[in-house]
Parts: sequence; structure tokens; C-alpha cells
Amino acid sequence: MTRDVTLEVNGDPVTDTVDPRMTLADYLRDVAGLTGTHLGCEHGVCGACTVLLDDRSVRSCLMLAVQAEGHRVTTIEGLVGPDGGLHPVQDAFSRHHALQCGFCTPGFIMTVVEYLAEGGSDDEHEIRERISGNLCRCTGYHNIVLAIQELARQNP
Amino acid sequence: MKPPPFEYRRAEHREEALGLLAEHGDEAKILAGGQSLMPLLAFRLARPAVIVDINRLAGLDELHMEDGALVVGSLTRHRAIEKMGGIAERCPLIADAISHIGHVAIRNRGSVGGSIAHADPAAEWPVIALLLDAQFEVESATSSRTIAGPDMFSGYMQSGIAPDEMLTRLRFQLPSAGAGSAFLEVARRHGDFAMAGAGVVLRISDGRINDARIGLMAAGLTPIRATDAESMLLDQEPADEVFEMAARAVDPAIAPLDDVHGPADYKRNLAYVLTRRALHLARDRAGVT
Amino acid sequence: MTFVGQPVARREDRTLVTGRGRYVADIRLPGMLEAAVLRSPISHGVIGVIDAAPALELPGVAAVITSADIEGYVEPFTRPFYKTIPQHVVEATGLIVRPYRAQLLATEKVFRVGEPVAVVVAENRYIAEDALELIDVDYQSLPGIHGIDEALADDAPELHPEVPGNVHCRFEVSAGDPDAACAQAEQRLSTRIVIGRSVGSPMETRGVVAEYTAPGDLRIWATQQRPHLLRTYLSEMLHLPEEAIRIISPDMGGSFGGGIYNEEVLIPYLAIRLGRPIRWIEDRRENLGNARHSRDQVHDVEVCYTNEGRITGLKDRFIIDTGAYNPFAITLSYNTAAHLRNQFKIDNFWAEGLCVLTNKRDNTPVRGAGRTSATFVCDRIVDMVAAKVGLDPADVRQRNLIPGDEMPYNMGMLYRDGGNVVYDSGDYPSQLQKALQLVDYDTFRSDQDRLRAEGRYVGIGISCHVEGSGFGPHEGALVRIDLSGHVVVHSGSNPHGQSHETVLAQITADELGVAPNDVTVRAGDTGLIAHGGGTFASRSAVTAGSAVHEASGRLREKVLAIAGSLLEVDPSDLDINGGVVHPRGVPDVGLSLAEVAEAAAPGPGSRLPAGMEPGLEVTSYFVPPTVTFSSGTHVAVVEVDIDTGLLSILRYVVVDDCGRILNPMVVDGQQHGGVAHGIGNGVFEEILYSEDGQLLNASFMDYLLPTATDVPFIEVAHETHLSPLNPMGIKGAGEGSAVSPPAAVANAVVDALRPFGVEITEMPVTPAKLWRLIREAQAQNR
Repeated sequence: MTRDVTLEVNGDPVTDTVDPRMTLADYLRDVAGLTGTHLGCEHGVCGACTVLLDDRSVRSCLMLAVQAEGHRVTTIEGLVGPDGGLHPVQDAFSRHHALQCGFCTPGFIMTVVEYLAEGGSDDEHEIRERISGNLCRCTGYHNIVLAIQELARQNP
Repeated sequence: MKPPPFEYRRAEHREEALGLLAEHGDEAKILAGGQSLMPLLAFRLARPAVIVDINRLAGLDELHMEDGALVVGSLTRHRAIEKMGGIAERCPLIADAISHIGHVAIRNRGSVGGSIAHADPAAEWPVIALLLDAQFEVESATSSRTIAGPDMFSGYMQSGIAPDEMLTRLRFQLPSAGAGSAFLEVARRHGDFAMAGAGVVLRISDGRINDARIGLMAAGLTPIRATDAESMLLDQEPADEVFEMAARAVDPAIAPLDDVHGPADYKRNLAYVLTRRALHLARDRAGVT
Repeated sequence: MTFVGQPVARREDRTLVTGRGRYVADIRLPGMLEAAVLRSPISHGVIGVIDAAPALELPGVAAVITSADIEGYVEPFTRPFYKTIPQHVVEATGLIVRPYRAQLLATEKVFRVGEPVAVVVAENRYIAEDALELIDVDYQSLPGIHGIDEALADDAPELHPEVPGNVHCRFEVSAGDPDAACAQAEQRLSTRIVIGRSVGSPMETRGVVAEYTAPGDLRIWATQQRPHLLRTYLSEMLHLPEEAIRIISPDMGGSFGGGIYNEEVLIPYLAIRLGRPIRWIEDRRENLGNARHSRDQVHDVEVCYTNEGRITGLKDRFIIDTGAYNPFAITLSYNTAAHLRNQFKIDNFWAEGLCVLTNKRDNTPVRGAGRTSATFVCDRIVDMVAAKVGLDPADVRQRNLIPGDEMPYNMGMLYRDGGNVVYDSGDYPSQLQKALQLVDYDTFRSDQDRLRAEGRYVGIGISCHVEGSGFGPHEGALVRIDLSGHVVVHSGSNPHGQSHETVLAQITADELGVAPNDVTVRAGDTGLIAHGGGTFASRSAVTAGSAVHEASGRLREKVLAIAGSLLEVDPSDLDINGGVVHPRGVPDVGLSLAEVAEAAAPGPGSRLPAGMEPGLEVTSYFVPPTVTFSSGTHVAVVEVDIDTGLLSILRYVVVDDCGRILNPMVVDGQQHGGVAHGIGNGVFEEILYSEDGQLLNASFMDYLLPTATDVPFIEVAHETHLSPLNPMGIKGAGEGSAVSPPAAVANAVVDALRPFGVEITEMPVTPAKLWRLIREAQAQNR
């Protein structure tokens, strides 16, 4: 009992055959081979699996792959420029030492990409609230908040 | 933590969805935003034989004001209302409450109708529905009807929607201009399920309260309107001691349960404190006429 | 250019921010199957018939194994996860450690909820989980033990016959004459302090991938802090030579406590048995219940002091609820005893530690490892003493700290590794002074009175700590210059977020006169170096750093000797800069490292000085004499909403002494993360069991890690006192920052609520508990 799903992943149209119960996260990782989307809890709390669905952040563990039919999915791998250059959020995370083990990092970065696209401010409280759905066990969030504040200030 | 097997049916139009519900009855489960259902599947606490995905259905994502009501399609996402212009000014209660629904990634996907149908007493929309005299339009393959707010919440996580019915439209009657409203919630961390929450609507005219509503979440098996406390406010001056008395009077109406985050008596105290504070906030926001 | 001490940007980041990291769950091998573990639903009971037939019939299921299937092929755990405790420590402490024996799969009995009973292997994890539901196990419940009092009751059932009375370990330590000191004391107080149970909760759950391609070629990828130790275990338990086993710890998504796990033995065995690669990835529910827990201690403590608040004696009898098995024996409890007196000069001291078995998950080291509990006990007591004598806690602390001019200070007891507990370096009074200045303590005190008058309850709390860091017994490093002149470092200590690639490269770069980018650091692979310790006990900078330093230094000498002979210059007159060996002061004449490497290569063209071994490669093993004591002082400023018990942490200040700072950016990052972890332990995180031993909060909805809204910016400063115990003067920085927050926050809460006279004797401090304390105090004061 499988089903075809056609979607756009990081700009490329793809069609795959999947078990309908497969989550979007497992599809991205195991079928599409995009293992940058991480699974930290599989019940929608940790935020490590955050991807963009039509430019909006979603938990890819809380969606079925078949539900992505016809949608655009952007993962951490899709942020790197065609020349291999880092996306500004990736670059800021690195410069500010906003990651240690790196496991939560892709989910944070996708959350921040959406925040900046919405014109998010550099207000500490607003930033902390926006990323409070992403858990990090290494950084104490300190440098993550600093990185986002800098990005927000430079945001056009 | 992988979902158990199920038959997946993606409804392309409303009749198809209703037909599937008629065919499978309580073996079927509607998949709307999935922010409650998917974790239940991951823990294998829900085991529907058939999942009916309604995300493709046209016309379920409406969102507009009409005759002083907020009209919301059952598939409208929390985030759409959050970003709707003017909602915070027109009814701050709603804006306050939405900010407590999980996090943005949850609100981007989670639907208002799903939250109502899930009927979790610790969720925000059910108590908003009680406070704003919500009307729920439901349809089955053969009929349609309207459920009024309180009848929607029949027991712990039990909605008044029959297995062959689908919630299609919600109508929240907004407080009249000049009323004050507020919603306060306490959770262990931002975005967590509430330990307690209180929503309040107050209308003050000629220095007296002429409409008062108090709703409590996470305070029992269903969302609760504290009607005795409300009537203590009517025709009274909006004074601190009146609010104190009314907030105390919430207690007999609620029956919170012990859980890992706190015992029932703590939650009773929170319900009292939050009601009192919400009354103050609503008074501050109310235009005095 | 000196790179050590600079905030050199991380080499690790580019891979990780682009999603190209390779964590265990990212590994996918051709023909790979996936496993899931069937776990006991009861806390104590006898296993009857296991019927796996329906599971085996499910399409896609390749195998189901139970204990009967591994009998005779895989040995159980019998060797604890530490080196033998030296005999003189055993004698001095009256140490008793009962035998340790833990089953890999439950045979006759289960001893805790979650204990592995069977393993399913299937085409994918979805099917494997379906199959788990089809295995029928006949359990017969036995009375369980779910707390310390139950375990020690006269009529308690005995969980393991080799552990009489359920007491797995016991020891006593003492210094000075505590009885006499307390008999003569002007004042004394006694209290019971309870430390809740928590779990490390790295963002990546545990995982194992195993592949057996040919006899003698078992390859394993695992979330393992100690790959070499796992190899030793597998060698013994699977009856294979170590050479046949290669353990790779790839990118790891954090890992805050070590040890060897059942699945790390079972999955490799299954890969051999089935001849297919197998992947097992723990899910979060499994992780919260089955990654080993930590803390969970009860202390009955008595402190004796003068009317001026000078502490003259401390006695503590404490018990650890150590769960169903105790593979680390006294690691936690002895750490607690050895760190109990913290930075204070308390020369009369006695402590007894007991490890008690219960039907819960094992209690083993997690970031802080026994010190979090010790520090909570000590720092709470110091503040209680201050309240009794009517002095400010900061003042009482200054009166009791070991004076800077008395360092190094011998605490008069042995450490677990056999050395004396000697605080080797530091200046604690100056550290406290600096922290108080940073937070502007005096201004806070005057603000506090004003805010109280407005009905706002703010408080300030101090906690200090010491940490015996850099535990041995050894760590290894291999440093090589290849024929291209590039430098390669192989480390036996592998990272899970600690930035080894960057920091170890900085050390080597300085020694060999190259840039960090000219150095490649590899770790986390038993194929790289013969012996490795791993990453735990805040040891990597101390032990791996020292090993890399030593190996690089010896390699430098060899390079200079060879170049000296080629250039006909005395090696002591040579220097290396920018990868060129040149006479000092003559930078444009010289040999590149590639030229030296070519000269050093074996073969007829070799131009080595007579008698010198070919190759530019040195392996060093650093053996620390004992641990080196890092330290820190934390100050928390909090506000309590007295109506709800909700707590806000307004400011958090850290002054840290980790000796030589190799990379300040990395060290500060460790401080930030440790503080957040400690805030979690102090305020949010608590593993809760029901009366029948069921885990009550096995989800991230109910086991609460702190989020960005729960942690403030962490203000970090340093006070550097070099360690005399290693060549670079390094002290560990990884864990100390996680040790103090529960005590600092609790002390701040007590300070905020001083008008009510609330005392805190329990961690974590949850809003519900705090509200009850406030309410009880209000009722009493009425």
C-alpha cells in the first residue's frame, strides 16, 4: 500500500513512491537523502526537524510525506547558494559560535530564515519567544540570540 | 515513534470527505493541521483505520468579519488569524490566546477547527469558543446543523461532532466595541500546554459592569464558563474588591487534576490568580461609556 | 603568531550549518535493516513464555531475538565502566562494592520499566515497531522497590542475590576531627536535602549502526563518548580480537553522560548473526526512560559553625538511588563526597555514601557527575548558616573560602584515582569578589529593598564550585606531517560539540609553526590510534590537549633535528614559521615541512641523521598525575511571582577559572551551555516515577528542557590560574558551569523570599513547589 507523491524539494521537482504513513521528515532523510533535517523527538516539541513548506516553518515530523503533494519544501541543504556560499543565517550562526554539536542547528536556521523574511526585529524578547520552539542543549541560546539580533539589524 | 499503519485517503472535495466519513464512521479520523493527531500517532495512542486528509478541500480556510462575528473556516490556520489585521485591537482576548498556542511552526500548520474538534480542555480555542458564544457549522453526507458553544464540549477530549460529521465553519461573536477582554495563561515554558488559563470579557457602562464572561482552561474535563462568578460581577462597579470576590468564586466551578507539573490545588490557585489579573487587564482595556 | 588563546573560528561549522554533518542516524548502508527494542512494561517481575511467532510472520520482519538466542554467544555485562579503584583508597574508605552483573536481554526477570526483553529487526523502523506490538510476553509482577526508603526497609525484597540489603556500594571519608569540632561548636544545624532525578537529554538520541562484511571486519558507528572502551567491551563480550572491531563515533548531537549500552552490544551481534548491516536509532521516549539517569540523592547533613558564621565541621550521610544496576559503582557518590566542601576551608569533615539499588533506571554520570548535588548541598547550607547568624551570604562565603595564599590546599582526603584531593590552583576569594563586582552586588541590595516595598520579590544568589577535571588514566595523540607538509592529528578523545577539531589544531599549529588550517584533526575512530580515553569528566582539553602538545613538541624536535642536519645548523638555532624551518632570524632561508618530510621518509633516498627512525610521526600518551581542580563562581538574580510561584532569572553572572584558555570563544560557549543545563536541572527537569515504577514524563512535553525564554544572557568573565599538573596549565571547562546554577538559583529564590522565611531543601525548584513553600510560610507568619 504505497502512494506517489510529487513535490518540489529545494527547487527540484521530485516524484517518489512512499508508504502513506511515512512522515515528511523520514521522507526527506531516508528517501530524498537530505539528512540535514534532524529528528530529535518525533512528537513536535524539539524543532530539530523544522523545514519550510511554501516558505513557512513547519515541523516535518508532524506532517505526512504525502501531504507535501504539490508543495515546495526547503531544507537546510537548500539554503546554500549555487556557488556553495553560505546563506547569511548559516554564516551568522558560524561567526557567532551559535552552534556546538550542530544537531539542533538546521531547525534553528530554518526558523530564523522565516523570522527574518517576516521582518523580525532585533528585540531580545521577541527573538527568544520566536525560537522557544527549538531546543538546544549546548549553547544556552546565548550566541544564537546574538546571531539573530545581528541578522535582524542588517535585515533590509 | 513511527505512526501505525492506516489507510490514507486524500479528499479532493467536500462530498468525498463526507462520503468517506459516512462509510468508515468512527474508524476514520480527519487529518486537518495534524499538530495534535500526528503526535498521537507517533506515540501510537491513536490508531485510526482510515485517515481522511481534508487539507485539499476548498473553502475551508475562510477568514473574515461579518455582522460583528469572526467567521473562520475549520481549516484556517492559527497563524492566519494571528496575522489578520486589527484582531488585537478588536478582540485582544483572541490575540493574547493565540500567542500561547505552541510556537510559530505549530501555528503555521495547526487549524482552528482541529483544535475545537480535538476538544482538549488545556487548549485555547475551546475556551475562546465558550467566551465568544461560538456557533459551529457541521456537515455530514446527508445533513448539516449548527452546534452552539457549550454543546460542543461534551466530555474530556470529546466533541459534539458525530463520527460522520465534519466541522466546516466557526463563528465567534466578538464582544461589542468598547468591551474589554483579556486572556492569561500559565505554562511551565512558553508554548507548553497550559497549567491554567483564564479568559475574560467585560463591558462597563455608566460605571457598572453590564456584561461579564469568565472562561477557564485546563481546569477540568472540558473548558469551563464560571457563570456564578460572572453573575457576581453584573451591575457592580469594576472595583478591585469586586474582582477579588469574583475570582475567588471561580473555584467551585473548576476541577483541575494533578499532573506532573503541579497538583490540583496549585492549579486552583492559578485559576484564581489569572482570573483576577485578567479582570484587571480587561477593565484597563475596556472603553468606559 | 600564537593561536592558543585566540578565538579561532570553528573548523567544524561549515559542515554542520549546511546540513552535511554525519550523525549515526544519517548513515545508510546497502541492504541495511532497522531494529527496535521490546522493553519491559513493568518494573519488577518474572518473565514467562515469550511468543514472537506473530511478529515473525509480519512481512518485512527479518528476526526477533530474545535472551535465549544470545545465550552462549554474547556475555552479559560484568565489568564496570571504570578502572579498578586503587587498594589504598579501598582501605582508607572502608569501600564495599558488590559485584556488577547486568543482563543484555532479560532472562528470567526484569528489573525496571524499559529493560530490553527482545530485539526486532525489520526492513524499516515502521515495520519493526509494528512487530513489537505482536510479541506476546507473559510477565508476572513481583513487589518492586521505587525509592531509597523502600530499598532499605527491613522487609525489602532483595533485587539481586549478590547485593545484600540492596546496598551496592558504601564508603566513608573523613578529614580532621568532625566529632570534636561539632561538640565544641557554638551553633549547629541539621537538614535533609533532596536532589531530584534527571537525564542528560542530548538533542540527538542514541544510535548504533553495525556492519560485518567479513570475519575480522566488524564496523560500528555509535553515539559513543568512549569508542575505545566500547571496542574493549565488544572484544570481550563477542569473543573477538580487538583488531576485528572498528568503532567510529561520527558527528554526535551532544552527549552528556557515558557508558556502554546494551544496544551497542546487541546490534553488532545481530549484524554478525544476520550478515546484514543493522541500524538502531533510539527514539525520544526510549531516550528519556532508558538513557541512564543521574542525580537522585538524599543528604542528611549537619553543619557546625561559630556565631560569626565560620564553619568548623561538616557531616553528611547521603544515599544515591542508583537504579536497577550500578555500572559506575562509586563514580557519582565519591565525586559527591570529594566535592562536598566546595571552595570552603572546612577542615573537619565526615561523609558516608551509600548506593542503593531500586527498580528504576541506572543512575550514572551526567554533566556535573555528582558535583551538582554536592554543590547544591554545600551552597544551600552556607546560606542557611548566614541566615542563622544574621549575616549577608556573600559575607559568610568570604569568611569561609580557602584564602588565595593557602593554595595549593590539601583537603585531607583521597581522590577516587588514588591521588590526594589537593586544590592545585586558584584564588577563590578574588573570584567571588570579581563576581560580586560584575553583578554590582551592593547596588542590587539597595534596589532590592525598594522593589520589595513595591511588592516585587527579587533576590540574588551565589554558588561556587570546584571540579576535579581531566580524569585519567591517559589520553593519546598521534601527530604526523605527511609528504605534502600537511599536519595530521589523531586524537583518542572524540568530540560531541566541544570543538576538538579547532582547539587541538590550535595547539599543534603553535608547536609546529603552521596555521590551524594546515592541521587536520581526526577523532572518534578506534582505527586512528591504539589507545583512547574519550570525552567525559571535563578531560579533553586537559588530557587530549596535553597529549597533542607533547606529541607536537616531540615532532618539532625531530623536524628541527633533521632540518639542522640538512642545513648544517644547530637545531637549537632553528625555528619554524609559516611551515618553513629556518635559522632563527633568517626567515627566507630554509626547508619547507614537505621537504623535511621527504627527507625523513624511509627508503634509499632517506636523508635522516644516523640512527633516527624514519617518518615524521609521534604518538604520545599523557598520563595525568591526578585530576586538576577548575573552579567558578556564579551569581543569579531572580524574581519570584509570589502568587503563582513562577520564577524569572533576570541576570546570570559567571566567573570561571579553567586555567589556560585555549580558545575563549569555545570556553565561553561551554559556560553558556552549562549554565542552561544547570538551570534545567535546577528549575525544570525532573524524571518522575509512579509508585509502581512507571515513568510519568517520557516525552518532551513533560520532561522540560529549558528554552530560549527560560535562560537569560550569561555574563562570563575569567580569572586564570594555571594548573601546575600539565604542561600548558589547562583545567577542564566542560562541566563546572552546569554544576552551580541549581544552587545559585535556589539561593536567589530564598533571598527573594526572605520576608517569608522560606527555605529550599529540594531541587528542582518548580513553580508548584515554590508556591506551596510560600503559602506555608505565609500561613506560619500569620
